[in-house]
Amino acid sequence: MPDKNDNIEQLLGGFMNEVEAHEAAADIHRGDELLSEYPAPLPNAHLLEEIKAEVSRSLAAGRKRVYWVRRVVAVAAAVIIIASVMLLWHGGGTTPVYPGTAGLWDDTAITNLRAEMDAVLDTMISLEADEYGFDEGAGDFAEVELEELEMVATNDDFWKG
Amino acid sequence: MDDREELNEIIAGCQRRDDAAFSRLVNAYSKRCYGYFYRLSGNAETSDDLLSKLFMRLVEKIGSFKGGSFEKWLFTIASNIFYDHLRHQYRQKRLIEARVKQIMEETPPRPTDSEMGDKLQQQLSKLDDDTAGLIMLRFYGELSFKELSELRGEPIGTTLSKVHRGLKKLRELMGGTNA
Repeated sequence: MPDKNDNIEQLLGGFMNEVEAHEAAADIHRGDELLSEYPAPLPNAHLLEEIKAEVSRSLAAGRKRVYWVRRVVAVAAAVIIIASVMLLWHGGGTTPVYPGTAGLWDDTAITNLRAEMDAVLDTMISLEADEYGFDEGAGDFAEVELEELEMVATNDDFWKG
Repeated sequence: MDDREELNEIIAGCQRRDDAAFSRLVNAYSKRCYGYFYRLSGNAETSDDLLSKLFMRLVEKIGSFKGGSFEKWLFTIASNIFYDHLRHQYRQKRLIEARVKQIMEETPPRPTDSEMGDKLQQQLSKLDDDTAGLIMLRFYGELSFKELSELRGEPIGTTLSKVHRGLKKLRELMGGTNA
């Protein structure tokens, strides 16, 4: 019975007089009783087991995907770091830059390295945010397909006159 | 542990992608959600599909639940799934109508199972979709009028009026059996 946060009569009182509100609240309560008298059937146990199994499969697939995404991102980050360090080490082939003398590093090179690192982190964060592959627009293809079919049907009718 | 604490624990588990927590969520909400789908679709097979779709959608979206009324959040998703289904059914119907009218004559838009000799189901289908949806959302979602009006994006007076008129009409259609 859905009365959890409502004082229906008081709510209705904001829109009608006391007598009408009392009557309308009684109507709503009687309607609720009617719905309780005719309970809907319950889902069968087999269906619930199937749903749980499907959920479980989906969670496992998500975990697997996240594992691989993390590995790929980690490898990509390592490659970028190594490449950047090598670039700095050789200093463009003219001025050698040595580890342990960070203060002597070229500012532009450090900025570039940071930008690369930020880009990798951003990618990682966005991949994590979408790690379970939810796609709000997934249903859109079906909609577009139906619209196209609809247009075809309309065109067919047009040529038939 | 009270119900609220238990629910919070289940939700936290689901957000950690824990199988067992999702299982508990299915146990906790499947009956009400199934009832909601069943009363609106009037068809057991459709309700089975929509219930599965709902829980799969929850797996995807549970991370976006940021607190507040879980029922309101859950039944908003359930309601979206049902209306997507209705739209899809309507589009399909139009397409099929354009192609093969004779098939549609044998397939009513809201089929009724034989097991639904249940009088309420028959009378419920005589209410308009919007009112029936609102009544079922309130009954099975156990939502307050405030939550309902927020969910529908309409003034609370409109929601009150629709539910009142709808329930009154339903009682009249049922012959005022419990008056």
